[in-house]
Amino acid sequence: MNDYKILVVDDIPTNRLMVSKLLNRVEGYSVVEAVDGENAVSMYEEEDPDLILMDINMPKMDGMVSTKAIKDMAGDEYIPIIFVTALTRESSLWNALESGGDDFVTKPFDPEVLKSKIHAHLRIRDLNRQLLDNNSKLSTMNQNLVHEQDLIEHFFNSALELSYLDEKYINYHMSSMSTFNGDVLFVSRSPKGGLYVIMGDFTGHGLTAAMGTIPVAMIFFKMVSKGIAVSDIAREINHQLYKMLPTSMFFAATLMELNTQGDVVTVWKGGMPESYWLGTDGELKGIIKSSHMPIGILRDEDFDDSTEIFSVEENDKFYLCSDGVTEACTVDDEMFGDERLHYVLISNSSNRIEKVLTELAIFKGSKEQNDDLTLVELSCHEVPASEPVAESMPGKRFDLPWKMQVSLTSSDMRDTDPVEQLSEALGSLPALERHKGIIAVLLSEIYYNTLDYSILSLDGIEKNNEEEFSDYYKLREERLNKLDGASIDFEFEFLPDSQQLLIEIRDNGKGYQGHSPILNDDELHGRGLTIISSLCENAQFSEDGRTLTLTYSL
Amino acid sequence: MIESKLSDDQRILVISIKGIFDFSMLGEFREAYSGDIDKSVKVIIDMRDTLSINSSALGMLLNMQRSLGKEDGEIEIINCNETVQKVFNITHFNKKFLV
Repeated sequence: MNDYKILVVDDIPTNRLMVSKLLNRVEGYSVVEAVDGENAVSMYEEEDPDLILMDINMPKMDGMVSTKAIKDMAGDEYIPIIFVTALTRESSLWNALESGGDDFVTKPFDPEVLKSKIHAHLRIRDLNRQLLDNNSKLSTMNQNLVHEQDLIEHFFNSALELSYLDEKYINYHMSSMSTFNGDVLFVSRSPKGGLYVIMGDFTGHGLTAAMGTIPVAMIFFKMVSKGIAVSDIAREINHQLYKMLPTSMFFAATLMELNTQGDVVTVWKGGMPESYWLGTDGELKGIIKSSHMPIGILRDEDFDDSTEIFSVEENDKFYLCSDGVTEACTVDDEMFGDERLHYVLISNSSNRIEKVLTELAIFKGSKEQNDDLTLVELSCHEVPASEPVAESMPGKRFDLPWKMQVSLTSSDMRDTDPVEQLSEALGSLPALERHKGIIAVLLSEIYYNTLDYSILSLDGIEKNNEEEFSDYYKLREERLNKLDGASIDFEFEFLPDSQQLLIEIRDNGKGYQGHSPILNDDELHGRGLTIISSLCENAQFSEDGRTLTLTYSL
Repeated sequence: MIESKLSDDQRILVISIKGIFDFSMLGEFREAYSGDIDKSVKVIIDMRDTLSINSSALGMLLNMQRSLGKEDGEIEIINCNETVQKVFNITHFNKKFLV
């Protein structure tokens, strides 16, 4: 039980004594006394009582003035003040209550009445305290909420700044982000060319839903910067969200890539409303439905990353919307629906996003504006690469000379892919890093020429059409399986002074000096030497074609 | 590694080639455009993950063009890196394919 402190104010000692004795007998009450109004104010400050019994007529400061002072000091806190008075005239009692008193008992009083009044007022005081306490908790929570909303807004604004929102390609409408509704839109242009869009809808609202968008944004922007395919991006986002999100949360999304030339659109779509594809004359070219479950539900092995591909023309448009558009309702709970959306899109030739918004507002009529939707328009144009062609690192030379030898036996030729392994190994060296691709081309040319023609003697075999190709392939497999005692040796030497790489390939086969040069562009084969001589400073056969030395300038 | 995807309306075939495109991919590559495919399909070869290409792969591309009965410039090759681009330029393949 709470311990209540009661302040008894009376200038007459016997009165104070009588009341004190009465209250001290009640369990949980303790009594402090004040001898006049002025003393009451200072005792209130010192003792912080829970209730005050106040005499009215007192010297120095009467009970009403004192009450007013104490009530002012208490502010929002409820400190019950009960007048104990001999005054019975109504006007005097009225004045007493006007001054801030809460109740009164008239002398002579019935002790039981006094005790029950005190009890009732203390209960009100408890309720009032609880209320104040709750209010202060609420206001703290509200501050936290406002803070969270600021965070969400900040995050989305930064992500939107990262987004590539050139009006040439993208027009959109999005609900205000301060109370995050789960809708997400990111757009990014790959430095290798091509434009990527991800538009989606997280289950849930507020911070919980916003949390999930952080990994989505990170994966999306990072993978787009590397020009990775839509299906792989969808797979990676699913992988991360599946690991992170609780089972009740998932992410419906549409991922799109418009290629560099602006003539192919690739779409992965899971759990989203239909998207529309319109031609330049406003004709409907296609409706894209979701063919997958939302992201974050399926395990990697169950996830389907297959995409749909559309061959588009300049200025074709795609419209993506969140379920907030089609599920917008009238007062009678009639939904806007796919068909209305479809109709609004095809019956307007420009500013279609604004038109849809206007139609939606008219449709919803008196229903409270619940701006909970996202609409995106993608216009198809060429999206050229923005990455400057890699230039040689100025002033950076690699000065250490080195030499590397690799010897391949028959079983190496049968069972391994030496071109890939050697390209990887050489490409990882600092001097050759930027030349990895070209080195792979050269190695692939000289290795397959040596293997096929000098070692396997396939140079007389024609491969001018499908059948011949396939026969050639079979014969090659046969000879490769029977191969014994063959050797192909590579030697790589880096010359720091001239910044050149020497590549030598030597074999113990019958030798091969190359085909006669090709006469027209339709020949199926015979381009190897053309490629080699274009890429290299020098290419030299020796030992009857059993050795070929290339000089490649870095 | 080679992946091929036919669009739902059967109109576009995208063949993606990962790694070094050479003779070792012959079987896979031929499989990608054989089977139940309409000759009128638009073929796109996606080389975003193709590190490099050699002359036998060029032969394989020509062979595909021939067996699908495509005209020059009809088959599209997209997302080539610098190396691949270089090889196409040297061999004038940019005249036969839309690179």
